[in-house]
Amino acid sequence: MTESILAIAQAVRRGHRSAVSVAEEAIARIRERDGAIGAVTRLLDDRALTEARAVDAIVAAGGDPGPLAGVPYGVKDLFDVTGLPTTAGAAMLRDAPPARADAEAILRLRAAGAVLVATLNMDEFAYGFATVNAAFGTTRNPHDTDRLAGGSSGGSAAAVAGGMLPLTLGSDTNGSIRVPAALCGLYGFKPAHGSLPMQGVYPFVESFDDIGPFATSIADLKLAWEVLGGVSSATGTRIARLGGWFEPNMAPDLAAAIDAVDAHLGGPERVEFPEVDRARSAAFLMTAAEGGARHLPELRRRPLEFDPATRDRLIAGAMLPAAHYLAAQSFRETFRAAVFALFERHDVLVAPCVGEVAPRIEDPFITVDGARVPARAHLGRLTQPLSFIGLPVVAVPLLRPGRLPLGLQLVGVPGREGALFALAARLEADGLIGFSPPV
Amino acid sequence: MDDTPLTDTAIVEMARALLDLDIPPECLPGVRTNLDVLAGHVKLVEQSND
Repeated sequence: MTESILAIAQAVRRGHRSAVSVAEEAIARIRERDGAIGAVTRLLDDRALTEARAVDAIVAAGGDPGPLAGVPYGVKDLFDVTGLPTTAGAAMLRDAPPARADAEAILRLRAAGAVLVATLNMDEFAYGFATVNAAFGTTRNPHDTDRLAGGSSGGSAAAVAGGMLPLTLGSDTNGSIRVPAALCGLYGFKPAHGSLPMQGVYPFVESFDDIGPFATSIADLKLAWEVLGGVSSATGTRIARLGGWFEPNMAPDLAAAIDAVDAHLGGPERVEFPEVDRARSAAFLMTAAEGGARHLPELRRRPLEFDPATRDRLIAGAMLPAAHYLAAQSFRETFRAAVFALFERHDVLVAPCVGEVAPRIEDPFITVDGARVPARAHLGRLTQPLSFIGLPVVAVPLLRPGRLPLGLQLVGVPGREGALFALAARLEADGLIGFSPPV
Repeated sequence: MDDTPLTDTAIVEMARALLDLDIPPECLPGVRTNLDVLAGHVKLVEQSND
């Protein structure tokens, strides 16, 4: 059973439960369940119990440990954790020098009373939508362990969906929070670019890397975002549905569910972004070029130590001529201006997150325009054009108890995130979206 | 990008000359596939700039 982080924190703050007992339960759940899932790369039980004891000591002394008192959480394996190598999912970094300090996001969660319990699996260097990792294994979807959890923050999503932890952190460059959130049936938030601290986070594509939380309710997600530094800003109720690029290639039950949300919202206007196909291609090129450039020194030195699934993509990216990278960057500004103009008339745009349910691990393909294409590179085709221009997006799960998850994106603009959380809270209260535990 | 596919030799020589990078032979098929994918995206990005 998945507990709300709000409920855990309230019980710990009031002294009804000890943070140590909450941490011990989380550790026990991971030991019991993760063998079948493969979400956790390192269980930090000593650290967790030390942090939990400190929380309990504050409560015992009559103090308030903070809004996340005693909440156990995990982080994608690219956040610096003091004393541990930051692997970024790469075998070659297993023996890297240990981090000398925690990532800023971890410091903020700790200051709010949260307890770090585990590091979590990912695609190597965050390059992929699958969490199929040659060194650390494949993370399996808790709703069906024969299926992908999505990526690259697949361990972060699977740990929450599998009931091991109520809160995790991931990172999202092209969809790496939103894709696994959709496939695992969770809430996930990709914040406005640059709005949450990236200190101590192993970079992938700094032009559009961001970090964000996974949770099982919109209230939990919002609380985690606020603790991380998010500011609940202006809201708004002008809603539209994103058409064009975002409409074809949807599974029939996803299309039907979006129609139902549409009807519930009173049939909002349908809008289209211009040239989304170019935007996705530009995001693809910038990702390849920046990723390739970042890893070029190690590609020269020890190419065969990379995960083959990322290595060949990184080499190709490093070979991309600068002229093409600059053309992509230039187009991004044109696209951003056109999209932001749309947000003068709208506060939230509703779009699908991934067009179909999680692909099978043994058959990792999705169907796009009638063709079978690799899931690892294409699961983010609906998420890439949005993060590419730094938009904040809340990924929300359609309420589908007993069925494989499908999700939506609620898309906004920086400064009006309040509108995204407000709409999600409304849809959740009305029973259209929500977390359904695996059966 | 030209439509003519690069030969393996050309890919290896280009990587060596421009990036000081020796592509191991076992990586070549994957690199070629990914270069083809990137070429498709380049075409799309640049098409409407004409």
